[in-house]
Amino acid sequence: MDMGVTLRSVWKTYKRATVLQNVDLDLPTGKLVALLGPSGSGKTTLLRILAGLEVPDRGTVLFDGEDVTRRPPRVRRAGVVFQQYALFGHMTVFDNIAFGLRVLPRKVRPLAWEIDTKVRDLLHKVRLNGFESRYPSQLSGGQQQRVALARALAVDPRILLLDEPFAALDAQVRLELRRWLRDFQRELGITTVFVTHDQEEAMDIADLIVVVNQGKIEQVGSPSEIYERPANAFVFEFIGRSNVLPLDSREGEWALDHLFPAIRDWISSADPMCAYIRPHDIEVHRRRDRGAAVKAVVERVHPHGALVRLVTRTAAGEQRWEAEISRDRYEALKVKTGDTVYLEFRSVTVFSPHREVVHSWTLDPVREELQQPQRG
Amino acid sequence: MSGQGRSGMRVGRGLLIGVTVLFFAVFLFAPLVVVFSSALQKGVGYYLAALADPETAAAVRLTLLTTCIAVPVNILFGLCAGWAIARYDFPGKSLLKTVIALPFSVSPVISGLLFVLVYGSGGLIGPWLEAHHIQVIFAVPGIILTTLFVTLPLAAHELIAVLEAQGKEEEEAAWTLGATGRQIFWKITLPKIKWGVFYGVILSTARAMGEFGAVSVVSGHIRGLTNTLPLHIEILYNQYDSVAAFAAATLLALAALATLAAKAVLERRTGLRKDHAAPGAAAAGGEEWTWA
Amino acid sequence: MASGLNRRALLPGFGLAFGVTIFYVSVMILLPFAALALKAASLSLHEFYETVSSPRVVAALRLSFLTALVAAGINVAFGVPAAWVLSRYSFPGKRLLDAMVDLPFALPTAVAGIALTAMFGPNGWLGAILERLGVKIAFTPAGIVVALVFIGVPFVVRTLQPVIESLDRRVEEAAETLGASPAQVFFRVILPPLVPALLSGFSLAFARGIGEYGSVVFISGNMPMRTEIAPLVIMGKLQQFDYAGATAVAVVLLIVSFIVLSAVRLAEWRAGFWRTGAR
Repeated sequence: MDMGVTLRSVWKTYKRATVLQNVDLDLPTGKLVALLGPSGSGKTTLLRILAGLEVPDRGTVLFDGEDVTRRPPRVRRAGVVFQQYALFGHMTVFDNIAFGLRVLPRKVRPLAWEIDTKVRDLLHKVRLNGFESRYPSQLSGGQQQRVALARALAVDPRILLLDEPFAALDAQVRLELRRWLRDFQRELGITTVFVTHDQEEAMDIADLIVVVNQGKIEQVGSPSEIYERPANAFVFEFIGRSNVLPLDSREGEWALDHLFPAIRDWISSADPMCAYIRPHDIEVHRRRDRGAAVKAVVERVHPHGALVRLVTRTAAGEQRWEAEISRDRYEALKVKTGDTVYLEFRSVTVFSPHREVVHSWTLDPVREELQQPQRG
Repeated sequence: MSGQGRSGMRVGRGLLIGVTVLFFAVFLFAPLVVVFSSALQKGVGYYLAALADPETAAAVRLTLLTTCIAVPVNILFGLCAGWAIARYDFPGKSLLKTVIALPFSVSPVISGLLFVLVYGSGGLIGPWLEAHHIQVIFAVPGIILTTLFVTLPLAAHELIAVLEAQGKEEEEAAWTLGATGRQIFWKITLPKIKWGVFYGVILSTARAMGEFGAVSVVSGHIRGLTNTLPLHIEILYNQYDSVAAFAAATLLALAALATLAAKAVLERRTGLRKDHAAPGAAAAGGEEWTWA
Repeated sequence: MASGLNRRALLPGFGLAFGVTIFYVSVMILLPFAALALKAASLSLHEFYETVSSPRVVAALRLSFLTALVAAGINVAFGVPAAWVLSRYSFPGKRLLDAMVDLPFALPTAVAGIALTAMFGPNGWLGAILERLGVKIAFTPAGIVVALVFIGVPFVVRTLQPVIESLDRRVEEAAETLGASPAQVFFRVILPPLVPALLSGFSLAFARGIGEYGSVVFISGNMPMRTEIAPLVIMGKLQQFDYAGATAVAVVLLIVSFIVLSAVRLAEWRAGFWRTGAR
């Protein structure tokens, strides 16, 4: 039995612009899934196709093995929380939540007291007891979002879909609410998909992250998989801060000769490669105690809570390196603007920036070992 | 800014307000006052007698009949056009909007001519109608048709704008919650646009009651039969019975004042932007017309 | 339609709404215009030219255009301060003034026509005063202008108002802090963004003025060659059952209105372009 939600070779075009090209996706039952991508990547279209609000040009959508591609949203039972919540402004909170039950055909519609019980139960679950006779305009953003969630849940959806659920909220509420949603989803155990452009949000709460870019799925994996083994340059750059060194530049050539000669053989001049290094994978030293360190001058120092970010530039002035070190380390080093430091790369990933061919190597010069190239 | 500049601005402000008040007094308030003062020139008794005239009463009835048909028909059309245009994409959408706005940009006399050319004796389907003894032109159906034509864009433009401004998120939400098309319309759309509908009713009513040029072409001016109130006023005026003409005109002037009051209240209540107060301007100006 | 709709999932009701719309538009708008086009096509070029170039028609067309042009100009001259006052200042009675702007839309044109005639006629209170000063309004082209000014008030004011309201006052304040005088602020900062709306208000008032009938016929006196407007010529031809002649004059009027309104759209489009570009 094929469980969960499946998309098979889904294509979608608007006015000659291809929004989704050949998307294949399997979403396991009960997971919290993030559709992560920059704006215009097609992630919202993907969500709307799941909701039934858009019909793909080609391809199939399966809910628990059942083909729902052409079933209208009315009968699909996908609970949707819209980006601006789309609450019914002329109805109270209670009426909003009860709506999905009251529009059922008379034969299957619950009795009034059953609807009442269910709505009150949902109000309790989303912690909005006592708000039932308020109107949406009288609620805060976070409360509106919870009403929208309760409204979507009232119809016992097979899947819950949330479009940028936290985008309209203040920073403080956002953090609180996303943790709450995470726990709430665990408790319900319902397959939930949310769209976001915020990688931190996706990393924080999702079980599974689907990275979408230009209508294609770049990578699917758990947050740690995505972070530790990004499939390509796009994912690497999108998922966190990064330093990029083009290997065909002067400094790149130097780095190939002195820092990672092991991958010399993999590099062909026809296919320009770049080395990607996370700021926290750069160690900063006061003096050149290892032969392979890069000499740089500190341009700026940004303290950031427990971490300190150093912006440096190589002596030749061509390459900028951003390093992130612990506050302890920073205090031990006593670096300030204008000081000369030596940088050591602990982990380097090499990608071809070309989207068509994606090679990647992760090497750890400390352990002097070259990991197997992956083909993406 | 120097004190001199500020006081200069105060003088400028007073001057501008003065110019505006004077302009409005001469061109807007004075004509309105003239209508009532001329009607009451010969006293209240004469005024009431003029209103009680059977031909005036017949004109009032015809005007009301025309209005009662034109307004609901146009509202229904406006709802359909608004739903189709604001909720879906289809080729030729902006062309359709332009066509709907067309009656705005046509001289009233030409509007009448258009219907004569279709339904008149030498017109497109005139001969067929004659053969079946159906009279449209110089009869009540012609008056109703032309009134429908000149008032058509008012409600439609209003409802298209309201529905476009509203977006379709709430309808989509209702749809994902299992509502049928009918349930979406009655439970979500209509409650949200009810003020827009009301606004459309006000605008169409005012125009339907007052249309003169177009109706004049197709009516045939048969007293007591095909004379609407504005046409009746013209006849009375041309017979040098100007007091009776103004007496009848007070009815339309009162309706106009009621329209303005309802519009002002509605605009304040709903925060509708004023650009909509100029429906002719808005529709003729094109679809980029903005809403708050 | 489905292919044109890009196979989008559609909210229910499209078929009904679209069908009714197309049907109604076809019967109520397209059919009448088709009848006009057919009638116009049945005229020979010679016939058309003969009608349109007869002295009486030429005089009427010229009168309609000139009076509409002058009236639209007057509307702009008074409409700018009026729109400014109504959107920027607050003073007692402002709401009443604001509501009155729409009077020409709400008041039937025939009522406006007889009221203006009574007011500006030789026995009217304003007409009598002006008569003593040697100015005649009613039954002259000036009377036509007066009626068209009345009709055109809302076009200019209501087109300008939202644009003035949307002006960012901080821009004016910025200009002041940079040392601009009030006059400089007005002409260099405030006026330029208003120009497109001014143009479109002017054109709308002008287009409406060319076709206006009800408010004009009473005050104009309708003397052929002197105070007879183009719509009245059409009316006259219709009363003589000269449908061909009426159609010829109507086509000329329609073409002019169409050109004017296209210019409005172009101006608005460019204004929109300019506004988004400036952002």
